Amino acid sequence: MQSVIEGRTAHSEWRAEPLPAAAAAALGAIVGPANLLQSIADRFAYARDRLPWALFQLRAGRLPATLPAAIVSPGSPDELIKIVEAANRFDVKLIPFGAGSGVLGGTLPLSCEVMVDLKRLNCILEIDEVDCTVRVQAGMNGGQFEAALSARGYTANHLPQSIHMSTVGGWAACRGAGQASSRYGKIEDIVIGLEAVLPNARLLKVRPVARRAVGPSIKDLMIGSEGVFGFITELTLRIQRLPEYEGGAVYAFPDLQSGLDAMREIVQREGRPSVMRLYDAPESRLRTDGIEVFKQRPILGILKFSGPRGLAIAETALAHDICSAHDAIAADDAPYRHWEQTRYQSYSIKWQTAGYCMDTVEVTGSWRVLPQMHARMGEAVRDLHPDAHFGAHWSHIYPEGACQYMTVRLPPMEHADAMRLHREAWHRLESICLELGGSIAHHHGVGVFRNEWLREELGLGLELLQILKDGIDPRNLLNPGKVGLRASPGAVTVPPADMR
Amino acid sequence: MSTALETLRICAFCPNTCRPSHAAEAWLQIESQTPSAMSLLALAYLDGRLGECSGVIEALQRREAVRESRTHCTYGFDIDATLDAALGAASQG
Repeated sequence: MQSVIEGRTAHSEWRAEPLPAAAAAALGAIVGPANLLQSIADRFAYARDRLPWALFQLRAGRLPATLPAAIVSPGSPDELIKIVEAANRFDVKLIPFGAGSGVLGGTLPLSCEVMVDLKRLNCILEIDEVDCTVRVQAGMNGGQFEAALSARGYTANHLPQSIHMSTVGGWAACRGAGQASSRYGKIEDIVIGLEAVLPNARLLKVRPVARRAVGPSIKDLMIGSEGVFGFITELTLRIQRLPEYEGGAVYAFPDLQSGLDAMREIVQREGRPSVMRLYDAPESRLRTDGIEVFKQRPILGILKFSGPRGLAIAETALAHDICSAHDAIAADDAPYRHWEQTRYQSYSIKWQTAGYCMDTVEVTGSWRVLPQMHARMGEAVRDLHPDAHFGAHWSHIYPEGACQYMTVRLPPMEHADAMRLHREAWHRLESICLELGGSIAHHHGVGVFRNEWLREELGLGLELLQILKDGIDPRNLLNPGKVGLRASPGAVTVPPADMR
Repeated sequence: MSTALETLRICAFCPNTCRPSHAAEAWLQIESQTPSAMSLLALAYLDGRLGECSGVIEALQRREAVRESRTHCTYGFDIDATLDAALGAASQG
């Protein structure tokens, strides 16, 4: 029911219920008027995250979902508690917002919720050099966090491509992974304690200890909850000293199976390179142009070894022996150097601005099924359109399996056709993943865009999550409709039913 | 004008890799002040989706974060100057 100006919807037609005056007055009194934003323009800026589907809508002049009713920015956990108390009093729904770098729509307002921007909670509270831990507020920028640790001689070794455009709390909220996950684990392995404000405005404290046996992990109720169970306000993370030694190695494998076998064998024989990256043929070609050895051995593998010199050198030798046994040849390290130089950049911009529909899908598969998963998924995407691009790499490597990270790109075409094919690509990839026993998400989370496939993976587990949600948040105040949980009455669906 | 619009489109859909250029202070961390958000707002204003009553004019004048990002853009853009060029051209018809 949107009016159209030259094919684009005007703001007067957007769904944009404002914050009721009494609630606005209460929130403004808590944070001060400068930290409560209510203009349409400000609300428009918060009406998206980096969900590519939302970007496609904006590019076509459409609003992805609704406008948030307002944006409130607490300057302390106490202010946040008061905000949640007010939300309960006025029945205002809230969405935690970090830096908006999520790619599954986890912060999209589906029913004009209030965005709670946590970026004012942006300090390192303590570095414990005996325990090698850091306490940090959730809204601190990832790049600034690592820079501050580095200045003290430490690193958290959580180094996602999005480090400069994400917050520490966002890493935990979406259960993210960094580029050094093969050695240091995902964020759930790095966080050892946290504080969070629950929907009833009480402060949950999970004390930071190395391990515990006090029932199921409360910490893990919050890590990956994407704000549906509470606001993470503070995290305690493991840190390590900056590495004494860092070195890279590049290998050319004759085929994908030999590369996968080598990666599996390295970790199963207890080698732990800090970075392990294997690319399929299309992704390898983009990175090896002009390097002779790749003409005969077209599959690129990049390894990085970090830590105490003796240990790193030993791991380098172990990995070299394994790769060589799989008929790989050590190659010029230009691809490694290029990766190091560009590891925190985004590759999608040139395609998105040129009218392509580019997206990434990351799933987890066991070693037994990964070759089949790659072959079937590639075929499923290429079958959609003669000019569809499918490429994949594996850069989160575990003894039991790996994350298959796929890039899908559709050429410019009419918007409705593109959205139909884009959705079909997602459906095919997630369905094949489920059929082969994998997980539909390795580290990007569920947000709203993966709701459709979550039930098949979690089964009864999703009912358990809903029971927990109903108990913790009986009025469904926090981020309703995300992570497969119940939406607010009248909420928009993403994508709309007629686009599925 | 067309170059400025093209730059704004790239910036609007960039995930804000320049974000750490903004000091870790409250005022500069507001999302609608980031270069990517400012570019998105400018495009919506220029194509008529955001009218003047939306507060977009005031929002586009908050340039502190955009200026801080000048030397941190992955693509070498000066979004402050680009906003001036695009909005200036529009105001001259």
